[in-house]
Amino acid sequence: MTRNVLLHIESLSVRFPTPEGPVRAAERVTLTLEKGDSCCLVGESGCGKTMVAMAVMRLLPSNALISGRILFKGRDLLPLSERSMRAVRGRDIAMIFEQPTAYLNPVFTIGDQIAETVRIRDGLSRRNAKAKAIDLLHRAGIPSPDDRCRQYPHQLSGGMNQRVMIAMVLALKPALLIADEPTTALDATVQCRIIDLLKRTVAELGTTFLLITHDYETASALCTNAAVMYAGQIVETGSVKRVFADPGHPYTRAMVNALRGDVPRPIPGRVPSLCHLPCGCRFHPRCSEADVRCRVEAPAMENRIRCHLN
Amino acid sequence: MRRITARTRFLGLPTGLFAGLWLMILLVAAGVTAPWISPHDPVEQHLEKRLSPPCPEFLLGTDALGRCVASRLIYGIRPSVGISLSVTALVAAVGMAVGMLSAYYRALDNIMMRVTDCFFAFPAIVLALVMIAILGPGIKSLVIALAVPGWPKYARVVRSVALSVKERGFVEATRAIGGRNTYILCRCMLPAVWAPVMTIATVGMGGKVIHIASLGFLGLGVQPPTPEWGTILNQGLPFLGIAPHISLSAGAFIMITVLSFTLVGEGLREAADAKHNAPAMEQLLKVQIP
Amino acid sequence: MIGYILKRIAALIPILFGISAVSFLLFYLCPGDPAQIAVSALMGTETPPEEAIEAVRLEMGLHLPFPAQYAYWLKRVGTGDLGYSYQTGRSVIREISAALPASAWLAGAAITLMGLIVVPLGVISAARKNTIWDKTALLGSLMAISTPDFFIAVLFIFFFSVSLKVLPVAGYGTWENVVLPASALALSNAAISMRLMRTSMLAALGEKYIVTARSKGLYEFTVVARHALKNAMVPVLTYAGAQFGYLFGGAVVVETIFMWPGLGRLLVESVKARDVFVAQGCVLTIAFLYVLINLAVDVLCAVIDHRIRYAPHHRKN
Repeated sequence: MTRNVLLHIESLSVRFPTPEGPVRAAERVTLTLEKGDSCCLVGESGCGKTMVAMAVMRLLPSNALISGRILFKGRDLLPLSERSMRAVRGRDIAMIFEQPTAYLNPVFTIGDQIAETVRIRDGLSRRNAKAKAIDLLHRAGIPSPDDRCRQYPHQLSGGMNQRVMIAMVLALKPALLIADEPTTALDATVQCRIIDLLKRTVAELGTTFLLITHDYETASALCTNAAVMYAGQIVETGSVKRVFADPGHPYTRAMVNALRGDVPRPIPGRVPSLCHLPCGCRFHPRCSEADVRCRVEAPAMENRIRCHLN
Repeated sequence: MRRITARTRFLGLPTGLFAGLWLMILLVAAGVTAPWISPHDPVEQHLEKRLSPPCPEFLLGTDALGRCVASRLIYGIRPSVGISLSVTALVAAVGMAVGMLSAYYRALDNIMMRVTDCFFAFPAIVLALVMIAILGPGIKSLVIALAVPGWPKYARVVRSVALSVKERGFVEATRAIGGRNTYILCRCMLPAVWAPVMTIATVGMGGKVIHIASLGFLGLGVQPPTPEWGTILNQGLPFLGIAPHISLSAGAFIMITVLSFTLVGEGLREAADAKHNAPAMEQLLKVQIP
Repeated sequence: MIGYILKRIAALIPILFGISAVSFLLFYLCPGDPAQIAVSALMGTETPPEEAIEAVRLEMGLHLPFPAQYAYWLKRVGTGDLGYSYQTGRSVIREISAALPASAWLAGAAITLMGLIVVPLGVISAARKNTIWDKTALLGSLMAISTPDFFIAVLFIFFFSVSLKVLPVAGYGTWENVVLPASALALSNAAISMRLMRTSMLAALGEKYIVTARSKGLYEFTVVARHALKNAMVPVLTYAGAQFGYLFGGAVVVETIFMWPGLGRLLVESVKARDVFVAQGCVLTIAFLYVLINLAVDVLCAVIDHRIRYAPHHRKN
């Protein structure tokens, strides 16, 4: 393990027991992020990417069965006690979420919530924390931060609230920032601005960045490396340029082609239910190039692509 | 001896509901068969054995007039359970009617809701007291006195359930194909309304038992010589030091009766909640998709 | 905020009228001639002279038709004339003013005790869902719901006054006197509130902003007691307000047992003695207080949860 590696997820599996059988949300996911990297985890809804992020934060529901290792700064996070993990959350790893308004507490003012975050990191007095909060709001691009501080999340738009969450990240100065679909719930016009803000924030803090998204264009804008997920497994990794310009896995190819050109071409079939997964390669029912081996034998990761036809 | 958890079921019913139902059946049976199962006549006085503690002859002792406490308490099931049953049936019917009509006819709604608001401002026992004052004590007045403050709660809940049914489009669709008003009320709204009403009714019955006992305690409820738990509790108060068994057993009877109704009500409520919740799989998928 | 308060007050006015109408109606329907009863009591005779009864009847407006009588009564009430007690001869206002502080004291003590039980138990029950704490609390609350407040009072008297002799049985005036009745009321009424607190907390703890709070690395205590609790408080406070209002009149039986000179006991005594004006005044006061207390609680909730000020008023049952 080189000194440069910040996060190394090794063979992470997340399963949920249900009466209909175990739901395999993530299966032997392996991912490495070096310091200063910006990596995206791309895939459709329900492919397990959020599960991976929540597993890193150890915020999965208590009935989740997790196996594997999550090495952060060389330390495995999974066996840590809750108290130790709490020290890691916020200060070392921070996360922003998809629907910012829902993820902010509706009964506290924006100012209160940011000031609370400031005090986690810096332990300032209340008045100083309040002043710092206003400064952070300003840096996150919110106009008239003085007034905004006294307002409540439901009084602000989705885009504004995402800026508030980014302001909290600025307060925490984490080593790793995970962003789970940060722009998906926002209007198209606002999305670009938030993407810009995120880019600036990541550069300013020098933080390592893990982006979760289903939109490969956002991924291209923000990240240098990519990992494509399908049905709980990572099917392809590589640099963003390479993966999206010259995809190696049939799913990546189909995904990229789906939105290219004038007419959207959806991938035939549907994402498999995570408790009734197909045998062999999980993508084979929808793959135009599948052959006998794909139906029977599950492919392993080879040359950064999980496919027999490589 | 199997461990009782949240999932334990007897005969397909959760533990609480099962126990509650059994208690209720026992109580009703005991009330109905009171003349046969009581050890003594409830009004017969054994003056030489006044205030005696529980003994083999008098299972729960005797009161100040030498009457068998156990027999009086068993006979006491009749007014308590009987009156609360009839009152509950009455207020549930009235409340359902008012609630459904309010939800259906918007013009009626405003007025009815203001009226129910006014009723809510009076604590139930205060209204009941005043009704007794107007009507004089007695069983018939008791029924009215308990019914008057009771119906608004049902009206409220039924109205909100009926409104949500209305908003789901069944009603408009049925009207569009020519369904008559009564048909809509009976077939669309009534089934949806039934479950919450049953839940409130069972817990409400427990509340009525307490009200009956409260009024009896104050001397304004069921009149002597009819044995009634609240009255017996009151009669035992002056002797709390030397003969606590009178008041304590009366209170215990009240408690057990109300407990059985509450258990059934809780069980029904949980069953209704469980039916409305999404099955496990869907809930899980909600976890996955952000 | 002011707009919200004004709106709520405006909605209140028809209800206040409705309450007054119900109060008037209830006593209009009372059998017996109030004028005759009044004069009999005042003069101390069973057969007072007819002229006296006529005079009082005119004064009370009993000769007017029903709607006019209501208006006349309303006017008198508006000017503070609620009549006078047959038993003591004092004005109803005086009787009620004497009873009100006692009720307030008892209700206040009971609510405070209730808060001390409900909030910790409800929060712990929710935070430690399905553990032994939770199950015990739920079982305890089930027993408490099923027990009438006067039986808890009797049990307390039995243990503390009769057996252990540490607290007085009845009376009014000192802290010792208020402990037993307030505790009896608190225990029996806390049960439902505790369950409401638990449900409310469970709902709050399932919300997304709790994930954010945890992801920031806050202590679990902060997450539960600050972020979740403030959100969970609103329905509980609303219900507690209703209970506080209820205790002013609804504590009738407990007040009677402990001879606590509150509004409830005044009502019962006046009902038994057919002291119509006092009973009517009590009922009116109790209902008014209930409505006003609920208004105050609603305003408090709007202070805590800002969103309430904009949403149309949703009543919680």
